Amino acid sequence: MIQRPTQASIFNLVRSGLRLNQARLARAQEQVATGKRILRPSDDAVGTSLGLAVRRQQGGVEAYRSAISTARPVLSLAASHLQDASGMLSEARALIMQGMNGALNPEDKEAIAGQLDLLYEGLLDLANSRSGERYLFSGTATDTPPYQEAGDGRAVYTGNQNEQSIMVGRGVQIGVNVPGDEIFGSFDPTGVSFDGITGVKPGTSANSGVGYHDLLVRHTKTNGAPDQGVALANGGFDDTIMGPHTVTVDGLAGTAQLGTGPAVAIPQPPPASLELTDADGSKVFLDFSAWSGAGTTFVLTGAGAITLNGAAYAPIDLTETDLELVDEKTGTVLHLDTTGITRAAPELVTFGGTANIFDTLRGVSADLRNDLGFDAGESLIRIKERLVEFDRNQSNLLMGMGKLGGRTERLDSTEQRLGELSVHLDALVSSIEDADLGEVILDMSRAEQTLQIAQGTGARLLDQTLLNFLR
Amino acid sequence: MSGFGLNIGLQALLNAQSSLETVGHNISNANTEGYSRQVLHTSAARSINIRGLEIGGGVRSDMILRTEDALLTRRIVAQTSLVRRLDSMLVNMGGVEALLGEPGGFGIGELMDGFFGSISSLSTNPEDPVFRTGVTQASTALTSQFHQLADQLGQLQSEAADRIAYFTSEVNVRAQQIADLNQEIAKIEVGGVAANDLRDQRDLALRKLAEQIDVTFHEEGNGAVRVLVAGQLLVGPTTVNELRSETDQEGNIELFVQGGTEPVTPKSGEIGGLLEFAEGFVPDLSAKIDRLARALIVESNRVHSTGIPQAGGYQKLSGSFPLQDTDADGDIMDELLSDAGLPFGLEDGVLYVHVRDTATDELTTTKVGIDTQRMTVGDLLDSLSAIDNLAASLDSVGRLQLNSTSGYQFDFSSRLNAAPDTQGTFGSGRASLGSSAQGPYNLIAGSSLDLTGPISSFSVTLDPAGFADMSEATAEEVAAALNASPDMGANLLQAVAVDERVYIQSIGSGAAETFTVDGGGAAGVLGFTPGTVTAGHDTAVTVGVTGAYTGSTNELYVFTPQADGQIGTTPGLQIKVETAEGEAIAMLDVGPDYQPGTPLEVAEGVSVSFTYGEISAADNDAFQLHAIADSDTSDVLVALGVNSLFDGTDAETFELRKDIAADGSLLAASATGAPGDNGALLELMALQTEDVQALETSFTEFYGAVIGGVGFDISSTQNSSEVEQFLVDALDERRLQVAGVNVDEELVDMIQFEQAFGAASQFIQVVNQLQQEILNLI
Repeated sequence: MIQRPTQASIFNLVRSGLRLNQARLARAQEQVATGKRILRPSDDAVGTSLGLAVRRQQGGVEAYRSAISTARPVLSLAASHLQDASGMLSEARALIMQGMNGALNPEDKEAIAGQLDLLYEGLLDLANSRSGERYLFSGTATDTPPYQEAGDGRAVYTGNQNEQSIMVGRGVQIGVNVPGDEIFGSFDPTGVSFDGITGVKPGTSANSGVGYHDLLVRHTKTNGAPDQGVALANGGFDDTIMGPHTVTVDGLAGTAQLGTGPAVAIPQPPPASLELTDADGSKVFLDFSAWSGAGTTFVLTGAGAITLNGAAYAPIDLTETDLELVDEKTGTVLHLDTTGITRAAPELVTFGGTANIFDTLRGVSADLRNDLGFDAGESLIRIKERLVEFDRNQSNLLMGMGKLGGRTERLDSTEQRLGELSVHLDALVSSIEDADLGEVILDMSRAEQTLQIAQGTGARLLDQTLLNFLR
Repeated sequence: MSGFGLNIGLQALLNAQSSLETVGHNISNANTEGYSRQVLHTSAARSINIRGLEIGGGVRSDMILRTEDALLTRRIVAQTSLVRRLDSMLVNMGGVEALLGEPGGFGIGELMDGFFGSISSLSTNPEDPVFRTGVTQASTALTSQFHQLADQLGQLQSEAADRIAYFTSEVNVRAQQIADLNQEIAKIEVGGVAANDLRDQRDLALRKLAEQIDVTFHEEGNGAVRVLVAGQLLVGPTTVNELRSETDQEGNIELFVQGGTEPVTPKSGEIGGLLEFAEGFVPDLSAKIDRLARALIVESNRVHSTGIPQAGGYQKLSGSFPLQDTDADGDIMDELLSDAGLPFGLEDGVLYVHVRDTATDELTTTKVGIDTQRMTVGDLLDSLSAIDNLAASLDSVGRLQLNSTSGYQFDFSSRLNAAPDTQGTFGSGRASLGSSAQGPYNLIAGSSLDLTGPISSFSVTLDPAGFADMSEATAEEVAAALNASPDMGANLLQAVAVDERVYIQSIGSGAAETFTVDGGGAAGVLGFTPGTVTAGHDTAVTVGVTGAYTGSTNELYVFTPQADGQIGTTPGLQIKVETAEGEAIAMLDVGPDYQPGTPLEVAEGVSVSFTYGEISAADNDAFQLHAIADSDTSDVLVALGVNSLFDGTDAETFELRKDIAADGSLLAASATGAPGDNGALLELMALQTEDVQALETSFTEFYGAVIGGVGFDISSTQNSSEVEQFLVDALDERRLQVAGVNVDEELVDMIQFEQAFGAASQFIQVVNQLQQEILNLI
């Protein structure tokens, strides 16, 4: 209550009233012009803190989103390569089935082998495909091509088993690669198997190794005493029997038979070299030129040596049940039961569950070319043996594709979720920091009104002086 | 009648005139700042006894006094100081607020997002040089924003000092003015007259002075005032003690009054506000920004120091913080690590150092214990240099230098050793025999071990010189003492230490390698059975480790066979895994059901595989695997600034490490050494959201709180300022009520006194007429 108003206090009153209302107007104008309620931290300290927290959260979401958008093309590229690879494998499988047809002549087989070689090359290129400078399928060893041909010509995995992950949320990571050895040749060892041509069996000790290996049983000598004038042709040098095999010469029928193999008619005049084959495929060559014509039965015993991948030959003692063979080059350790060996021949050793798709393709192609000179049945056994690994690898590839697909899907759904979150956060920042235009304009018109009233009353008030009446 | 009546009339006339003049003075000063309305005080003159009557003697003009409330003036002066302090702070804090660039998105917050965003981008493609450049650029942008802010805050601080100096001179001008007025007032009032206008001026001068600085004042008997600033005399009755400001080297501003020895500390007024701004608000904010920068440096470096660059390791690293000779005895080496002048703290813990042979990829992991209270700089250098193929030294200014031998690289990551049997003590091709007893061994001087190698039988006498304490001999010391014998090398034998056991082994591999421990005094203590013949193997067990350790503590896994036998073959063959402390971790079945080469899960994401070969419990076969959760629990790398991401210790010195800025490939993105690995980057990214040790909250929240704090300071200052301003206004209003001039009132007074003047004139005329009439009688 002003007891004794003075001009000065009235002027002050009017002045401060105008200032206050003009400041309100200016503030409202500022908010309308910028659309922001908080232009500086002091406008609303709590709101500012809150807004900053949401903005940082938004920053985090943007970081995750940018990681996803960078990672996705790489993932898609990998997926599309695997799609191609899957097509190639289907094609390869069809070719292998075709190659297993016993009626094919060597030229046909050569043609199929040639096509398989092309697929092998194509697949190797795919496995070694890059995005920019990085290899897609070598785990995190992205500067190393995942499959390189080692000294023995085998394509081996030289990447690592690690997954590269990106962060898509607090403590949430999504892997964006699948290491090549999960796709093109996973390691899931099931033990050693042999194709069974020589009759070798696994030894009692365990084995270490990967993929296919060639075991070669070599015949070095045939022991035994043929009688009735029959002798070893060429000193038994060409024989392939291992261990004891019985030769039965039937003088009446004029036939000769090795073990349980087919009886062979002895031509007249008796030849200097007659080939006899046992049921297991082992052969002896006998010189009948001095044959007495009488029937006889005698036992020939083949002796030999054995090698793994052409390393030093170890002599075979056919009573050995745990012969250790080591290939220093590949670190392979093999234990063999030699008691069943009846024939000198190359033997295919398969470390089950460890051969990669390249091993398999290359092996089938070599089997089709048949450089080792197997007969049709033996070839088929080898190819069939390899087909097991092929099928395993094909399903691995499909699983790898599925894994990549799942990741792409997860990236997509995360991206979508982050997109929604981003919109939500935007809205949140806006609700914290932005001006409610309706409210501001209402404030503004209120301030305007008050200002006008203040101006009006001020003008009236200032006009009131006694001087107006003192004439 | 005559003279007396005229006299009464004259006095009335003069009195009315004086009143009119006073009204005129009031009207003319109606708008003069600080002016108090003056009033002519009158009283009835002494009566005279005439004709037995006490006849009034007319009017007497006593004194012109100003209408003033001294208490109010005092309160206004005090309140003015408060308001000005707040206003001054507001203006200056507003400047700071603008610097922060928030929440508009031009501040540190956005650049932190940019930094973490660039890390995120790089994490999708860690080998991409473009993304690496992205990180270095984002880091530089972030650090420059910190520099700019630190710089601008410093500038504001020094500007405030300048302004204080300016206001100090203002204060001195006012003080002089008050002193001058003091003298004039005293001179005038000594005659018993009120120096109204001078007092008004002095009150105004006091108020103006209070705008600059808070003062107290009291009036002396002679009308002069003494003015005190924070208890020290600024203005005496006639003198002025001038105020001056000084800025010391640390930028602290101090004020002194002339003759005073203690600095004065104003609490309000412009100067008080500026002081509070420059010495309270700005340093406070600077400290918070510094703390944020420091936390960013420490936390990023903690991750980065244990990362691995694109090259797969380091051949050379240099610390960024010099170790200091704090006791100034000319020798840095004797300083304790905790007292070597390092800017960041380090604690007791361990540091793992990996040295990798780049040709064979063989990794040797060494655990270095860091005891901050016992370990000296020299000890640290020795421990690091003791690692094969690594050399540690200090450069000329005392920064740690690490260099590996050519062909080797080192790192401090938490990677797993993929081939942990580095010593060949676990089924390798070597003939290898471990001691049954574990160290430390209670050996006596002169103890010997008798051996028969392929060349000769010999006895090695353990040289006490090689032991710190022979009764507490460690396996390492025993192995070193054995290797010191030339007979060992001549017989192609060597000794190594694994799991606190001493192993004697052949250097070559194969079943043909043999040696015999024949006996000797040490054989019993070490636990070697005399006469044991040990032979090598043609097939060696290769141990392979895959996976990543996910445990939370650092462990040393020790693998020991439970029997003699062949991997994948011998029925019931098991390998026991336990920690170095003997806590059981796993029992791995490697009997007939095990396909050699298949990874077996050990624990916490670590898998191990064994190829075929022979292992022996009797020979004490064993190998160790470091499972590292945190490869530097001591933070010694951060403290020394080794392999850091950022250099510096505060906002001003916060800087991306120079060589990384120049060459992005040095950015340690990988946790395992593989170029596509982004482990370190993911850890850096995690810093964006998680609570960090250095702040006890997240960067984001801390920064938000800093900005919010500034906003809160300003808005609360603003509120206070409004309240205080309102108080001043109210006080002013009250002063105006008392001392202000109401022109209408004055006009009424004027008419009143005009009429009085007229009446007095009329009275004189009447008296005069009466006299004329009397004269006419004559």
